[in-house]
Amino acid sequence: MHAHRGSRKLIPVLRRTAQLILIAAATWWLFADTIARYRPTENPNQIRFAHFGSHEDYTLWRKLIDAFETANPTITIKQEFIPGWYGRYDSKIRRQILSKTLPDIVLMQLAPYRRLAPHFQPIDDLADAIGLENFAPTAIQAFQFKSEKSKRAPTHTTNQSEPRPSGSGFASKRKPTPNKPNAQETPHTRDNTLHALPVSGGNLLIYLNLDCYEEAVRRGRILNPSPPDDWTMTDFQQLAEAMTYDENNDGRLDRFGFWRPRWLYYIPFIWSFDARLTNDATTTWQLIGPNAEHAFDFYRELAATRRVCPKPSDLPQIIQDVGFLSGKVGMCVNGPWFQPFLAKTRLRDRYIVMTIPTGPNGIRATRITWDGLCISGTRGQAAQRNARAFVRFCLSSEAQGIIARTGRALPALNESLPEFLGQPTDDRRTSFITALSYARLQPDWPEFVRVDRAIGRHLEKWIGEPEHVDAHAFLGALAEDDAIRESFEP
Amino acid sequence: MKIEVNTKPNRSWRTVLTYTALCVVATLFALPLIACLLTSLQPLERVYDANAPLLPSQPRWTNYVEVFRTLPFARFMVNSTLISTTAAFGAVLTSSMAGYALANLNLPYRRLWFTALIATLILPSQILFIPQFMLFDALGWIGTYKPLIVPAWLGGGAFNIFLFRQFFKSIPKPLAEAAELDGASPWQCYRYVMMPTARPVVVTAASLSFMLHWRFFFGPLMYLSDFNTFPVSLGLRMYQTLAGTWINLLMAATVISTIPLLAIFLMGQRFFPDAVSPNSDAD
Amino acid sequence: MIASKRRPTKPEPHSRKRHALLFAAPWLAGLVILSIGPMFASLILSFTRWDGLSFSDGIEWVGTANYHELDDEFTKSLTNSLVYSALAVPLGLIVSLALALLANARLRGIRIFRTILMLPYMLGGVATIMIAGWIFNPRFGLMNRCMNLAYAVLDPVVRIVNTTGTTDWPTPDWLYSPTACKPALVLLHLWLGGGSMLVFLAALQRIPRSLHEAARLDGAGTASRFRHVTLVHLSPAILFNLIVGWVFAMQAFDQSYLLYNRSQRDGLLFYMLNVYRTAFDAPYRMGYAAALCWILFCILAITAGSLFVFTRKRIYYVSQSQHAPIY
Repeated sequence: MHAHRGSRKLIPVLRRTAQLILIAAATWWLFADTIARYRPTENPNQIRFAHFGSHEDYTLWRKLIDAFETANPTITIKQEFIPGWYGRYDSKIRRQILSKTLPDIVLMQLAPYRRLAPHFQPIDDLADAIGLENFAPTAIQAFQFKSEKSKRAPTHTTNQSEPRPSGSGFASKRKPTPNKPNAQETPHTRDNTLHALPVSGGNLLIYLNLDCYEEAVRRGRILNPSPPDDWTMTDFQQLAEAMTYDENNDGRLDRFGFWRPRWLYYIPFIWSFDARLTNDATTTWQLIGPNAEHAFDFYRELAATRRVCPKPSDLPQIIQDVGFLSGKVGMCVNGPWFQPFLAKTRLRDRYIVMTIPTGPNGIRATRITWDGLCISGTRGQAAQRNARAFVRFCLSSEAQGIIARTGRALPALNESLPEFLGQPTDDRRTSFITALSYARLQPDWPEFVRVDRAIGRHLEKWIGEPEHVDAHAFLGALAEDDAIRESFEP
Repeated sequence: MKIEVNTKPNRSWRTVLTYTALCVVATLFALPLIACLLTSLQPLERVYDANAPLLPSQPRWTNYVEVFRTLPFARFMVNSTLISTTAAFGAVLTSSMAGYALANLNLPYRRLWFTALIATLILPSQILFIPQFMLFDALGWIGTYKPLIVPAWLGGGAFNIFLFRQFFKSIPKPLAEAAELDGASPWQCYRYVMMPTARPVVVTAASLSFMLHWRFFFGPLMYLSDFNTFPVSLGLRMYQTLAGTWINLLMAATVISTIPLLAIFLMGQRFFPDAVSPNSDAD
Repeated sequence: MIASKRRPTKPEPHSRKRHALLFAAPWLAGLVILSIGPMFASLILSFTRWDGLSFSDGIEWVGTANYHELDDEFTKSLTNSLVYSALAVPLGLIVSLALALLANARLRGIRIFRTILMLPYMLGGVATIMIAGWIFNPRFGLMNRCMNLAYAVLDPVVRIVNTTGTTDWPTPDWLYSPTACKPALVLLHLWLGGGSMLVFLAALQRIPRSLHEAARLDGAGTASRFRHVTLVHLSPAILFNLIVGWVFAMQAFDQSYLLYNRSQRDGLLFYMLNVYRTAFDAPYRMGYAAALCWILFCILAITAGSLFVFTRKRIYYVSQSQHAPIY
């Protein structure tokens, strides 16, 4: 034994003390959060805020939070960010609803919002305080939980009267938001109130790569040296064909005119062909009949017959963004959020944004969707008040200006739309604001995801089949799919 | 009897053959990793050019800087290190203790527990996920690293226990018994006789646990909500989906994320063969 | 249990028992809290219809309905997983055994080769799946670039036989095709075969050299020695790798989740991916998902158990005394 005789007694004592400290520390580490979870008085000045999106969205919200915290030094906002748009965020929110740990403020997309709205606080008074007429067209309707009939009516009538090209300002398009409907009119209403306020949105237009266009001009495949201001479906198809060719003559196409959109991004075309997915009340499936067949014939023609769209195996693992960026695909359907991405690439000044082509009946439409802020109300009055303060801040001209200036999304307030245009005014951004006039809300129905998947599955199969049935039979089979039969009335 | 006669020339011939086979196989196994490395040094345009040579004409090292600039990747690395180290430590400690109890001590209902151990090996982890989430939530652990670390301190994985048990069983009985007859307590026996002998298993179990937690994807996904607490596995996925397919950055991030695994593997690998021993009595 | 009978009388059996419980306490606690408890909870859940939102009004007892109202996705995903496992497991066994035999050679520098063969397995996880996703890119990935190169080299040779040469030889679309996506994942599985190779290698190194010498002196050829000495001694390792490989292949999830795309037309819709979607995508059928988990668990338990029982007589376990000299 080399230990000193004097320390012999001390060592066990020291050891025991160390053990006790260790155990105490471990216990504290394990259960401090548990105590915090059940502590009755939570700090109402600490607000949790959950959102989804890309890293750019994260930095944008960070900026908004910083601005809010500077203005309200007593309140701190804890940012809980889940990367991505679908699935994981949604299921996370559901888990949190289940465990009653929902953050005070939650950013929601339309489709999940419809199912989860009852779990959030009604915030009509906030909307009234801002003034319903100050919101951009369709923004408020998106979150009003009422029948599709009264929601669609205004936008639909506008569409038929305005197949108008770009150029006119957005200010004149402002129309009064309809009053809240009463419950008797709306059999499918579960709630009449707003459970969310829109903060940002996006509509879909066509991006055109100028390098591809000019290369097609150089090769003599197009005569018009610059792209047209306004166009029809036939113009669109011709341009797509002109930009599709075999560059190196190896017998394999390597330049394509158009990135085949998935059906959700094809909705603008479906609408422009004057077809519709459902009736206004979203109770019956109406994607049948000659107009719908026309729309899907056009789709199949682009994808398979004329082959202006790459098959997945032509440009594998290239997502739309990279396909467009690398000039392998001349056109694609995308929203305003695509622009900041392109701004970071060498394509910065080499693309333009085109409108959706007008359909044979002179109709032009596009799809718009909004993201909204919800207040969960899982905590006390004080916390809710602070949460409302943040939501109110996000709809201030300051915050809306920050959102608009990124160019990633349209602001929800009319007064901030000019900020979206950028300095100096960017024509491409103007197109998105002009498109607000003919934009219709993305359709939603309770079983959205299931039906979405069913349509996608049918469409892929139909496009992939060498010996295909005609559009009539395709749409008939789709309408007979279990997902659609069970989600809609016959 | 020809074998006996031809031993010498046969031998050298076989050596050459074995080397050739080894070289071919090793090349096949290493090629994807090399391709990953090469892609990580290309600009995006060349990555998507089927005619461009695989070898970058000018290695673009800035991709590696870009990785850290696009996303807070350094943060992810630190988080992963923290989670994996703590978890690995707990896994080795508790799994070796459990293995010792199963192999050398009279654990009551030993057969039952052992069966349960094997059963948990084949239990689809998703069965447990929903109830576990509810449990961790009740404890207020959501959003912390505890749901990722604490399970490692509670047994450290069936496979590790299995490894330790098999190893302790194979230690000649007289060794342990001699210590016990000298008056050593089971704890002392574990600490001073068994664990030093079991060094290969300790290294193996520690490395495996570290790697397992480093690669763990779905736990962090469901339990962590704050972006700044993300580990590397979630970070990699973000390069795939969020910033467009920046495949060159994704590959660069992949390369960086595997460096710690590579280091641990290279340091620990000489112990691995001694640790895995399914030949011993399987009860 | 024979071992415990043989053992001399213990000094203090009670203390040993107490110590045993103490030593096993963390694990046993974990077993109860994290495995057995949740297992029963999910078993109960599997007899209910529940969307995972609230207990008070959302949960509904439906008896065994979840177990006999299985949908098409179930059949599709089970078939996918079975096909994948049927390809991946036997091939994986053969390849990793072959690799182990190669890596067992007593040659200079063998360590380096072993390291390279183990490397993909050790790096594993999201990283290797990402690499595979890129390698199997039909147009730009390494795999098809190599195939095209090989075709180009073969072209003059083939032209002797036919006129077109290799120009119309196809390259598969791998992860972008409904048929080639599973082979791609099987190749990925083979690439990650280092783990089972390690098990084989350890078992190979425990075969006493004297046995091979003796067999050789008896006049046994290489093939015969491989069959009667090597394979017999490897039988526990083979069984172990078979069971582990089978269980893991049937539960494969990460690769199908991360590499899923729409051109596969559900070719990579593996069983656990279907479970995950059932539970965590709308319409959130938690109860049904729990039932699916239990069906898989029963399949795995029965197959693994019967494998174990039926091979019992054919497995040669080396007794303690026989491999003692190694230590």
